[in-house]
Amino acid sequence: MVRPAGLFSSNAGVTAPGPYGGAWPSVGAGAVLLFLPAVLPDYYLYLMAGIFVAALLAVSLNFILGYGGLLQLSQATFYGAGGYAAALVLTRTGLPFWVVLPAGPLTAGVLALVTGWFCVRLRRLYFGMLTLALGQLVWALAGRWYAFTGGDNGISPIPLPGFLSSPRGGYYLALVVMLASLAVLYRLVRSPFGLTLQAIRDNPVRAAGVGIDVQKHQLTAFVVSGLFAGLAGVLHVVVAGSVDPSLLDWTKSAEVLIMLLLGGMATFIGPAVGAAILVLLSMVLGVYTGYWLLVLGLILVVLALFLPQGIVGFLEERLSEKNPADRAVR
Amino acid sequence: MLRVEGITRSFSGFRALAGVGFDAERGRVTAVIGPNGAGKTTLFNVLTGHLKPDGGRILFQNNNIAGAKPHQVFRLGVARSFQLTNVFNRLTVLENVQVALLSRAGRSGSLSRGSLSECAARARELLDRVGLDGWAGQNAGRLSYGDQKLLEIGMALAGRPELLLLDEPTAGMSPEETAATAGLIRRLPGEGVTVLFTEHDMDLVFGLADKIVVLNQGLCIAQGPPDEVRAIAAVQKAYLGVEA
Ligand SMILES: Nc1ncnc2c1ncn2[C@@H]1O[C@H](COP(=O)(O)OP(=O)(O)O)[C@@H](O)[C@H]1O
Ligand SMILES: [Mg+2]
Repeated sequence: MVRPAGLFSSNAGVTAPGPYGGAWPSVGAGAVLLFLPAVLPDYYLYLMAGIFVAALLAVSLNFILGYGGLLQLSQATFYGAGGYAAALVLTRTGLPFWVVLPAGPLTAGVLALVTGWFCVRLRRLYFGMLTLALGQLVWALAGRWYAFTGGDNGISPIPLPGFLSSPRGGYYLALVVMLASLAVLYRLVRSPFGLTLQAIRDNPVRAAGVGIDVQKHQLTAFVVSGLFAGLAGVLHVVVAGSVDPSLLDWTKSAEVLIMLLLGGMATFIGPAVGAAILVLLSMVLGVYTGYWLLVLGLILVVLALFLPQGIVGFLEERLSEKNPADRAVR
Repeated sequence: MLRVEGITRSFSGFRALAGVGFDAERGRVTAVIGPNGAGKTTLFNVLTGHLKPDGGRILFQNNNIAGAKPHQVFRLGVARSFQLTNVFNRLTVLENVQVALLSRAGRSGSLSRGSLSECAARARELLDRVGLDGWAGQNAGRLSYGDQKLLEIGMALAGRPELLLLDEPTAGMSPEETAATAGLIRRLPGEGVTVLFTEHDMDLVFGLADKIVVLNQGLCIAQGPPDEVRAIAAVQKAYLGVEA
């Protein structure tokens, strides 16, 4: 049972070394990303940083959805919670930035703990519906509580420390935090904790039958996923310099879900690729015009019909067809 | 080892278990037989915490475990296999056993890959025992039905159970697989594992069991050594005759 060591490997039980062969491609890509600011104009740095944020958000959702099998329909709630927490600390206190950075994920994590405690008691679609309902509650709160959250107007501008106020600073922070977070999540997926999580996804009854406390395990994973979504929210604040209720709207959650479907949920890196494609697409198509939801809907239809395993899943399937060892069936 | 007293369980008014009581002795193989719908699977679900009994007591080593959660029951040393196969489809065969081993060691929440490699050798031993050592790297969902049942037994054994419950372990198996499974069950008491199993194959039941419990319509209508039960069985052909 040799497992590929790189980020580019599948969680769907590909047992032969993956087609991307080890960690070197990731290291190479990392080096390129590190030197991009030297050549790219500010606008593209801003775009890239947006991709990093979306990638982290998408991978955080895949952790609970793809690996945990929990139908989280409201991941943007934790993204928004992290963003608002960071925005509030930055605008209302004089605390240094290294306090702000953990404040976002911490807030999102606590929110995930409280909401997750109720959600993990439910199965499948009921779980999903409760996440959606609780998410809408938080959204309504953010949109109505003018005195605290700025209501519909959100919070803008948000004062950032000097080293982050340039596009280059935002780019580097987003890059470093995203890569570090992905590395942590990847380790988690590959750990006994992650393996057990995938076992629960495949068969919760059997998992309980071999002594696993299913709900506790799911709740822990839910909180971890929320934490990283919250961290992505902080990065959004750094990159965009503002927050508003659209950050935790259900359409935002749907967008993240489509990133997962686009890239494929069976691979670790697939959702990040899906995030990149979707962010680029939204830029090309003139950023959130009234047609954006229509575009998302069309993407969804095309995926459902032609690429149910997502782009990365599709590529991996193609490449592993050349590997007969994986296809032997008794 | 196990004493079941007056277990009742209804499904919306229908009494699937209507006061079942019997004992299973340590180091013995006990079979639970009865026609389809007698309540055998429901009984196993109650014994392992997957269903809460409406009433009655389940004394495992003199502790009442009625109403305990499945994962708690497993940790006390009661493991089971399911009538309908129940494996982790998208994990490899080896990983299926590793998950059970980690759980038994209290390391399901561990973050270190080290714990995984530590239990790999033991997992391979268990696969060897159930004859699946050649399939370690295969996805469990791709195994044949019979092999999935064997894998289930392997996962159950990973819990180092003192009491092992097998719900129709050979249903759907080929004759060779059935023979191998029978051999496996026969060796278990010598390794300190008490066995309680249900089965429709009467040759297997009478060939393996030290004691037979007959269930019908949620009631235990007879229990005793195979010879005694066979004598009753002759009279009650109706119950034993139904082999589905
Ligand atoms: N979850 C359930 N809901 C309703 N009825 C059930 C349920 N589980 C079992 N039953 C009923 O209880 C009876 C006993 O079923 P079961 O324990 O599966 O029998 P056996 O395993 O002996 O064939 C059957 O009549 C079955 O229909
Ligand atoms: Mg049954």
